[in-house]
Amino acid sequence: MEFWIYVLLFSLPSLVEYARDPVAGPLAPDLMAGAGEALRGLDCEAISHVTARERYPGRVTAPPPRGDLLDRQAVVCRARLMPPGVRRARDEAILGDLRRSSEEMAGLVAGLADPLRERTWLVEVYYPDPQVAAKVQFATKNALLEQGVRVTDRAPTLAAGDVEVLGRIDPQRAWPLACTRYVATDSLGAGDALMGVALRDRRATILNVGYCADGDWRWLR
Amino acid sequence: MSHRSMSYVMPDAINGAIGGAMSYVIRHVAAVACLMLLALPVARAQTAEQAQRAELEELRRVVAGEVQLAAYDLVDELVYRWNQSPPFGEPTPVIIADLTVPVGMGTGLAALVENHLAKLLIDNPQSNVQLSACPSCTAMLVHSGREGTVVSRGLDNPKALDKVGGPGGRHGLYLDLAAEGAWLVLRARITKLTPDLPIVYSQTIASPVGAPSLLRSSQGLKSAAEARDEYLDALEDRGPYTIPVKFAVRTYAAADEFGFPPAPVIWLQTGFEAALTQARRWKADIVLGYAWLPDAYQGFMIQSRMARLLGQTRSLTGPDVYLVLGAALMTVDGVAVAQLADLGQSNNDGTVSTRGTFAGLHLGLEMRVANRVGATVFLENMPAFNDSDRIGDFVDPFGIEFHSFGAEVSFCF
Repeated sequence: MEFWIYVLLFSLPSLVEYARDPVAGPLAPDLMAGAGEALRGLDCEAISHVTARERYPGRVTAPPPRGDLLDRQAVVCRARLMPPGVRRARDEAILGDLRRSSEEMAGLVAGLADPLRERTWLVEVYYPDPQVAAKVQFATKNALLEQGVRVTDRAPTLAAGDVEVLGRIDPQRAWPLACTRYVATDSLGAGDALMGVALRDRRATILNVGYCADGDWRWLR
Repeated sequence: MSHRSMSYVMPDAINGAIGGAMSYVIRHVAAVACLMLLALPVARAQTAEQAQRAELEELRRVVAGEVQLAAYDLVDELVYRWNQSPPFGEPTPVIIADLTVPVGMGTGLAALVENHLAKLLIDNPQSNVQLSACPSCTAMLVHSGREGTVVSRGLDNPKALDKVGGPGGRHGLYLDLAAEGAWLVLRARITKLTPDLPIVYSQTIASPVGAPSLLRSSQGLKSAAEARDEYLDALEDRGPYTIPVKFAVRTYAAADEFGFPPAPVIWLQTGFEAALTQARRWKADIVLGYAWLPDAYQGFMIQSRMARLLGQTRSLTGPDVYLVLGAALMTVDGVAVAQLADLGQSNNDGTVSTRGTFAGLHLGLEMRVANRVGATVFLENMPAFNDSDRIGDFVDPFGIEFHSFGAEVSFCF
């Protein structure tokens, strides 16, 4: 009996901590009431206790002065700007994380070896919705510039016949072929390179990245 | 019989006619009802779809309303950054080439943001970004050359633009507002409108949902940190200490037996005032005063007061009202204030002294504007004159006689 009393006493602080956990704890009324709907409309990030204290001094208690046995984290949740249902699910998945994904994509180009990196980069995006494609293109160009890559607003052009042929073949083959034609028609000069961002699978929410330089097409992701 | 038969025939005929008409109507009504019943699911589906669309439009409108201030704030921040670090070394004409809003929102928001940006750029010439109009830049141009016929916006085809008298080497500003999760993101880039279309400037600024908008004035844009410093300065004003200069007048009530009151005494006072709390909800002062009217009176006084703000916070724009409680020790001498003299005192030459020394406790209200100018009214009880036959009282609530009514104007330095 005494053993179980000891076990209970030792585990009591942890149980209290768990109960007060704002995300998983049973005493989290805001989230648990209609949890599915509530969570779907939130954008949450986990931050350290110290950072949370700096950002929300009135709402997050100060860490104990003699340290803490537990590794505490704060989860900051904000309502999404666009409520669920306003945009198509795939568009929302692409646009909701565009800052991070555009930086990642630009990082792939910025990480290329010097002769390539020093070129002037054109950016072309293939996405079913032209509005979303324009957003992705804008974000990618800005991310490239922020990583020190020279970028132009010029768009590579193709003859009408090329477009018709490329439109009939799958993207996997279309991009290398387009790359060859861009160079053949001088649309892409010797000092230029093209960064292509494409949604190769319509069911996917990850954008693929490739580049075209000197008539060669390579997928980076 | 005939009547009877008639009576039968007529109803039958009428019944037949009515019955025929009724059955015709009933058949048609039934047919229409059947058609309506058949069409009901379709109609309901259309209605549900329309209702859903209307609800979505309403939701978009609400979101756009919420986003507008945040979008203005981001544009303010962009122009503020241009003011601090201009993208060009000298004033440069720039065309607003494109402004897009978050996917899912209408173009009305784009027009509002564009107007806001235009106002900001006009009010902030130090940004070196000069707005410029170029109708041919945004118009669709059809250009035929060796490479074929190209249909494009003027901005996207500088060669064709040059041929129609385009801007020639000016710059195009592209702005994009995007809703990314819980963040509103503004991206800006400036492209030089030469055949190579190089991007010469880019900026990305993000603001989380729920961040309060700074509502900055378009003139004299400030950062959040600067605005906070200014706000604190305004709260603290000129520090916790001020030097007040006051012009006060004290009038006295006439006693019934005496018939007329002493002359009002005008005081010039100055001293030291301190705010006891950071928010100036409590303050205290101590002043010395002097009164002089030729051939009428002369006086000296020392006065101390405590004041409490009525309300929770001081207004930065309007007047504040304080409840004032104070005590004063005064000495006055003169024929015009002879009723205030101490009884039984005589001068060295044997004449009756007109000097009176007495204390007063006063209660009043002070209105203070921006800790610079104030006006006070108060009622004062002078214990030495309670139940006096020389000085009366204006009011005596709860048995406290207020013998004096005073008003003062103060200027703080």
